Amino acid sequence: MVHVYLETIEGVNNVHLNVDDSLSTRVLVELLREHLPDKVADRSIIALVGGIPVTHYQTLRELLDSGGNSGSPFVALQLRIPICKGEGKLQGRADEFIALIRRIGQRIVKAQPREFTAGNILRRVLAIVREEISDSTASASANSAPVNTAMFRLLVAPLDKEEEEQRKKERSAIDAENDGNSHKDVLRSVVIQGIRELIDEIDSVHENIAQMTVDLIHDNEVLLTPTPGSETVLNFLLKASLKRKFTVLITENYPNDIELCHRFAKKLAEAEIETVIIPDSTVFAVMSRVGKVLIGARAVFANGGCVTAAGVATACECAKEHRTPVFTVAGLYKFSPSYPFDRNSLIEVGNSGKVLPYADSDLVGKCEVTTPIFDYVPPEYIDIYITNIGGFSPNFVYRIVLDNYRTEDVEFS
Amino acid sequence: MSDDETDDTKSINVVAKNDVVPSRSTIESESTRNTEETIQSKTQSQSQIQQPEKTLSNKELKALKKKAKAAKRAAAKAAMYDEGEVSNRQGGRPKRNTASHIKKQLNSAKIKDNDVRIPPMFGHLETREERISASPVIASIVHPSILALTLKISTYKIVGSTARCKSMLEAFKDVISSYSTPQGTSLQRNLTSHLSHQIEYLKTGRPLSISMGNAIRWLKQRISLVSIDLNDEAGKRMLVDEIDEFIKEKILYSDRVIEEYASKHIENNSKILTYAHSHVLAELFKYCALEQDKHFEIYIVDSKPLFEGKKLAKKLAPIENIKCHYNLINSLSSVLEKSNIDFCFLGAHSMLSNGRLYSRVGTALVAMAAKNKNIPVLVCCESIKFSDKVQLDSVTLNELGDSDDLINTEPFNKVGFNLQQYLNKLAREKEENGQSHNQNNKGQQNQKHSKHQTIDSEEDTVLSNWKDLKTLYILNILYDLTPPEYIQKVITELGALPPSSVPVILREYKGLT
Amino acid sequence: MSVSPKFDIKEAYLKFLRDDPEMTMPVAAIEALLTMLKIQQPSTSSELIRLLDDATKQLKSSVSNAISLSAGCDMFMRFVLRNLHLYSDWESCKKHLVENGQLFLQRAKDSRNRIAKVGINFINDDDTILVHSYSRVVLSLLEYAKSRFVRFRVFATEACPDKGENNGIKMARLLKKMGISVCLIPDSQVGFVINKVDKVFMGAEGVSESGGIINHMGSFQIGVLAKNANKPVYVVAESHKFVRMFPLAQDDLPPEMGTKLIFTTDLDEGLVDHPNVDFTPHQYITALISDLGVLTPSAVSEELIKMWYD
Repeated sequence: MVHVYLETIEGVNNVHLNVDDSLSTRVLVELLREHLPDKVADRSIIALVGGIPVTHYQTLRELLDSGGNSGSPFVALQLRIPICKGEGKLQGRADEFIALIRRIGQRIVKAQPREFTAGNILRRVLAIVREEISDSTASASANSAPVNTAMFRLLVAPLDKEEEEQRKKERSAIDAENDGNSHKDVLRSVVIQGIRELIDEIDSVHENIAQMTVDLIHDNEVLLTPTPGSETVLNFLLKASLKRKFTVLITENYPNDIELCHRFAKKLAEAEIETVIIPDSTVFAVMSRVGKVLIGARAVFANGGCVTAAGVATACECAKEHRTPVFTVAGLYKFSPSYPFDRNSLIEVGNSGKVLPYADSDLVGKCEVTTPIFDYVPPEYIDIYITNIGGFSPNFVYRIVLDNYRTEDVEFS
Repeated sequence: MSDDETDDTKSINVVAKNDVVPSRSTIESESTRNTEETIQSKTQSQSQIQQPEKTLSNKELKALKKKAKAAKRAAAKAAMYDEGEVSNRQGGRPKRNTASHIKKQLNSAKIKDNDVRIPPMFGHLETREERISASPVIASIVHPSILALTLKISTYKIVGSTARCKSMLEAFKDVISSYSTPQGTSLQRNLTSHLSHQIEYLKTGRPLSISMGNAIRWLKQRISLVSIDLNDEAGKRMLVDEIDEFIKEKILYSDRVIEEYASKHIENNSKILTYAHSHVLAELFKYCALEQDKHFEIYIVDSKPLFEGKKLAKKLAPIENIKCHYNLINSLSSVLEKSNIDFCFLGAHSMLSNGRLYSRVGTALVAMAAKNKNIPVLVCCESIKFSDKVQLDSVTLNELGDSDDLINTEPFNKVGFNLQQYLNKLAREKEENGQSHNQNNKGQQNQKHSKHQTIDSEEDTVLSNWKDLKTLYILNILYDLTPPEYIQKVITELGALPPSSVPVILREYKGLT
Repeated sequence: MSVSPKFDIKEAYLKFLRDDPEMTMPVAAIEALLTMLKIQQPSTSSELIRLLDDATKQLKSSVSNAISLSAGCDMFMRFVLRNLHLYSDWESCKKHLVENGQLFLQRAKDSRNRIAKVGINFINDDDTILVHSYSRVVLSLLEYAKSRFVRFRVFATEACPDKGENNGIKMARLLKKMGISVCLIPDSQVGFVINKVDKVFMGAEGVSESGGIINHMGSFQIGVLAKNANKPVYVVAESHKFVRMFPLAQDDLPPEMGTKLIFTTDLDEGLVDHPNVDFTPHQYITALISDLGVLTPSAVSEELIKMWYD
């Protein structure tokens, strides 16, 4: 049974779904199409992120996957719609605009706390907005504060409360002054432009990452990838195959990604890449023959660790034991400014029926089964990150994150 | 398994008394007929001579014959190759080993190469097809117990070093009991070579385990030591008794001693990690729970394609004192992270002389992960599994499984790959429109489909015809090698020792077996 | 021109430390330098620089444990220089500095609170934490965690030898007063308990450019043990303890840290005159929890680079 109803808040339509497990993705999408008015139909993806019950992650992901490589492009796209149309309260001032995005962020994060990319994109947008605001205020009030490094915080000259308030007043004065006139429009167009660039960036992630293939793979190399679900990895390998001849070992990631693995292997084999499927247990046995381990990530954290498919942490650990380099390919939008304090809270748990099907009825109910879908790979297991803006060592990730997000936006709530 | 049982009852009905060795004339007379029928009747005659207590179905025996054949046939679709192969397998007569015969054998081997695709780096490992073609043509003198055992082993019905070794010795008991020394030779001389034939055949199922090798070496030595004064009957009785003794001493009592040693590590509320299935570990956990009345938790880690952990889980789940957790190997890091595991117990296929543990593939991964979390890794291993081989990695020495076992979504869907091929063929013959079927679907998991149901695959079919993709390989190896630095302790019936002491045990106790 | 005899910078520094037990060495050094500025009233900028330079040198050489002190002095120097060069209104800046001595202390405390807020995420229910020696930052972090009802246990090391300061015992007592259960262990027992520990928290006297730390004697061996047991080691330190040093090994610590090792057959000779601190290289440290957030070792060098080159 599917219940679909629409809810409108602040210019974004949210579709709340009550999805039955047995429902196939295709049917679901069709149902959505049927239930949603045309206008809303292309907006439904973000709505899904906002409304779907957390436990049905797989279905959600498949939905997202069926339309693209991850949730983020949709979020970015969908954000643009309310902004373009200037719906609802968006006529208001910049800080209200920020508040709106943060509210959206809160909802999205709450709906799917383990889907980081959506939040990341929102943070990027926020950073764009804040950048724009600080630029305009900076130009308005010429007396810019001395550029002090954070270490001087102890000593920096006065930024007392009084003065702070003064500045605030100033800023609101500027805002008030500009209210309803050109500045608002400038801000909006700048932000829309920023989002457009963001979308372009995401669209070209694969090409940009693939440019680095030549530097990373040598002829006749044996690569192992334990993340057969990753589009980025697939693209990377396909691009690489144009210039290099190599062998790819793929773990099955049973039971989570087994189908993806087969599809992945098929695509590689069709591109005439020598492809070997291995069971997850065989990683250690073959590791001594592997030149490099290539993984995709779902999210990369400020400490250089990443969340990825279940089983990858063990594979990377194994690579480390064999001194085999591990490199991660991930688009910039996967980099999250948060710190993975609690490993277990990052990990989504899946359907244990895949591990112990009802065919094993004598075990079901007697054995406790956990099926994590994700795994956390600590930074020490990873040698480099290959992103669309270049390669980095894991302990430099904090800098990438600082460059792209504002610290005040790390938490939405 | 339940499906087998239904068939077993049927097979009992068909029991007929016959000679131990299928009469050659039967085969001879049929040799001119359609090859397919030949094999059928041959297997039938073999199943008939089979004793009822052998829990082997008619069908399975048939399958055994088919197994070897069908794999080849899958490759050599043309009928002419079939013909050649049948002549290969049929005889057991030396005169068959002519130059043209060997050439044919080579021919068929060549064709197989196109079909059985071994991943790069693993080309040196022997496939089952190679084993079969390499083995001498002796099927007609193979004892039915060995036939049955070979089938069970090759379909992973009997799996695990201990179980295989034990059932092999049991089968040898049958062989020895029904053996009669031909004229002009003595039991000491001829029985060994007779056994060698059996062993050769046994090898076609799967390569011998280290423990089997050790047991065979022991048995051959015993045979050579049988006093020349004894008559055949007495000699045979003595050997059978000694085999019984050997099983008791080397497996049963050893296990008991190991359980006693290892149980000291398991306390109330202990959390134990283990991988796949090991006979001695299953006994150990049962012993601790039932006899010592300890309450503890077991985390079973399991993996494709054999899912042996389920076997362990089935043994342990009904026991009240044990709380069972079942996980696949890709959740290993989560298991270690979340639960405070106290000990990691691992079973062994073999302990090599350089301290490495040769065991079910995945063991090394578990041992490594446990070691890195400072969880002591203990290996329980009977000394019969100790080997004087040295190995450095898992690539050079290993055993290849069937690649298709990994593609079938329901691995080991009770019907082996080859049987399915055969059944497909049957189905093809029945329906005149000879449409080829793919073997992967779970609808076939019980043997009822021998009633020629059409097969429709509903499962993942992305790679159902993966062999069409020239650059795609599927690697299914059965073992891996765990370096000694991951292993804290090896518990044997001779005491607990560090992995570096394996050669010491080999030196000290070699003579005793 | 030298510092005039009527003002003893060392005395001022020690007085600050004595008067306020909450004050850390870098802050005390800054306060002392400010007091000096207040008294000396340099008229030109070159005079100011010389004055500060001399005072810093004097302070560094006269105090035995100068690492975290020099972090404070260096930062102050850089700040003064930067303000002199970049901005014309040094006067107002100086005025601010001289007048707000108390403010710095407050800010130093604030940064401890900020660290506590960052660091609390690292402490989970049912954790067993190992702390080494006495550290105000670690203390405030644990206190904050306790106040937020996180339930955890602490192993505190005795932190010997410490020349009668009883740092470890002091730490244990303060923790117990906060209602945190503590098990005080001798330093030699760390290896014995390390498997029961979930994470290690350490303060630092100074954080070197590589991200390694200079801390109370025994930190290095705890770091090695923790690394061996795969336990995370978190260093809790304010950013004003980042110091421009790059020691490679214990011998690279400044000589005044006293690494005199005497081999003797003299039966009366007891314990060797031991140094008070050792150096823990960055590979033994999982992360730095500072008021700038959770930092990786390379972030430390970035902060230092930003301060020193531009």
